[in-house]
Amino acid sequence: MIYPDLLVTFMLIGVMTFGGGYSILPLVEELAIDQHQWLTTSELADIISISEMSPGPFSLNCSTFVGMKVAGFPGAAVATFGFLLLPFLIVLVLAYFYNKYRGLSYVKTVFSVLNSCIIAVLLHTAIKLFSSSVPGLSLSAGKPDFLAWGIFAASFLAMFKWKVNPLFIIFAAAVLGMILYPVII
Amino acid sequence: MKYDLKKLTPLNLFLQCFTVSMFSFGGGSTIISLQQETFVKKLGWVDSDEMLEQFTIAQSTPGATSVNTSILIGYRLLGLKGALLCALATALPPLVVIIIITFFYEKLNNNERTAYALRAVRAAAAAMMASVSISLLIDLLKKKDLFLIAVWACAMAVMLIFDPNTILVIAAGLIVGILYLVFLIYRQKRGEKK
Repeated sequence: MIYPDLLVTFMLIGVMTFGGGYSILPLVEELAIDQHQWLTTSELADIISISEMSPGPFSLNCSTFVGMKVAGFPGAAVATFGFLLLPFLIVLVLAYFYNKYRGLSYVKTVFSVLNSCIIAVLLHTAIKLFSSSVPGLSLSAGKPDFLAWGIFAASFLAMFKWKVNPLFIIFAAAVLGMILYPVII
Repeated sequence: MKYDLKKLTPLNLFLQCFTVSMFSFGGGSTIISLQQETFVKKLGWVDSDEMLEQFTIAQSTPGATSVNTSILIGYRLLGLKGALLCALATALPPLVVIIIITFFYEKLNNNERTAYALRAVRAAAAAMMASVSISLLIDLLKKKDLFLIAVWACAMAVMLIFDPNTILVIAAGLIVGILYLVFLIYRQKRGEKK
């Protein structure tokens, strides 16, 4: 029976992954690869590319994929459940207190300062995403990726100015990429 | 900000969370741009400040940030039931898609078209993230609160120069926030004495 082990491991991973995203990888490496040897280190690259390929949060995708590799469909469900369980309970407690006290003017003051910080964090993420996905790409040696620039500019205008539904933007970008990249690369 | 809760039903909440999760590529905080657009701008169920506050809480708790944010949104709107619904709705799309992808992994991974689509989607996701964060920044500037703008500028400079862990930024923001609160109370008390 691998399931209890899988559950406990992913509960641990879930509670230790802070900030989501790639911060889960060192934990997967240590617990799933080194300790349990469910995967090999070379499969770590697969985990990353699959998790990037599928929608939803990266860390959750990782858990699902590792569970799937280890014990098929039930494994995927157990790993996902384990990963979500403890954060869910912790967030629930915080949600309770947040809703109880958020009306207080003291709490509002502290949150207004925190919100200013978070806007900086978000903008910084946007800059990082931009530099890795637009100027960071090239079509061939030295040639910038015009299509990425174009899609970035068009998506930005579409959302910022014309309030286009973001789901449509994502879908349109995927289709454009699929059709135009093979032509220009 | 007026809330518009007419369309708020458990089923609709589930569907909205499901769609947001289904269309969020690139992971991490990119989801917040979709959540912001959906819950604040399109539906008007949550106001912009609340969304940021919930994002802050979500970032400072373990687990996937976007799942945590949706749990908070769900709890705020429909209590425990809402929290469960939102967690499930956010976790379900990746679960299903990963299971499908795993079967076709070899094909998909070596398929150029998938790579091209993802490359284009990343550029679009960066643009959406930029749009949301710039809108939020404009809102902040419009409040004309010099202290908050200064906090933002400091945080931005620190992020750009040192690129610290987000948790550290939130912890620092919490300390500054509490100090600011103490300062305000002190000033108010002194004002009362006079």
